[in-house]
Amino acid sequence: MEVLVQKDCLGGERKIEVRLPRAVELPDLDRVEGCEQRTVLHSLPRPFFRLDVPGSFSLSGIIGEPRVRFTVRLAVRERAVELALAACERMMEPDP
Amino acid sequence: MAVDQEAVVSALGTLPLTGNEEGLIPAFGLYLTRHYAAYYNDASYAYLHAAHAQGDEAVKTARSALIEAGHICAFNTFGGIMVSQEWEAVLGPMLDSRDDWVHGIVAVINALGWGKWRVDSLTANEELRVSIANTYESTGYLASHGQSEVGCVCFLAAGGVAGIMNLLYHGDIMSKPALSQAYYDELFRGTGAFVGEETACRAAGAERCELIARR
Repeated sequence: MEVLVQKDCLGGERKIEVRLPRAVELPDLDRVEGCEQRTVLHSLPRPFFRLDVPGSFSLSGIIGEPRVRFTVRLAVRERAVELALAACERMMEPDP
Repeated sequence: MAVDQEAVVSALGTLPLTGNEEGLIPAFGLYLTRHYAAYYNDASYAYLHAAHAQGDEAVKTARSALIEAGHICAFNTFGGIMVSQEWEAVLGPMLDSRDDWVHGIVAVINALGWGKWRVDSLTANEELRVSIANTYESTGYLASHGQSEVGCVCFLAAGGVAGIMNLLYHGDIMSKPALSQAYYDELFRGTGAFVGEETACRAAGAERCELIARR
């Protein structure tokens, strides 16, 4: 996985972009733990998704593409990359 | 494929733009705010009027600073939007040329509540002319101060049109560069940058606000 940490517009380093080893598929979203708000917009020209994990991060991307973006909460910013990578590894796990 | 303005505005209306428990709205790789337009206007025009009481040099400084705020907004907000996944999801299939990106970001602006922008003409790498039926700046000025005796007042919009051209024709936002301070300086402070000018303003009696960006 390729990880890019970007400065956000508030001067922090809470925007983490990850290029996954393969394109995101819908079932991958089911494996994101703690998600309380899940939006998948199939009506858009490209199906955009956004998951929100309160207290941790929001995760967005496009179904069928390997690039995802985490915006990590201020309260856990010190663990931003760790949280993002853990979620990505869970997403990429094969179904049992 | 041309940019379908109505489709873009409609699609953006479906995006989840809600605040989180930290009071922020993460979207487009940015943090959005639901801001009272009158609050920003009041601060801007108090500054402008105070400058007018000081004299020509102060007016020049104030106008330049207020447009610079528009440059910074355009760089971070428009730039951030144009490198975002939301942009790819909504506009990606509509964008064939660099000019399409100009029409695309204007469609997005029209979904953000700043007023109804219209591209009147675009000469690639040379000039962008935009007119706006209802800028929040002119609307706010008229509501608070009546017809302007200090000229045009749409400073954020003036910085915005320059920002669009600088992002697309002075820089290359299509290559998804990092939106760093160094890149900002290159686009807005170096030689050959586009500069925005408002040539007609509703607050000063015009039917529409008209803005031009050119080098």
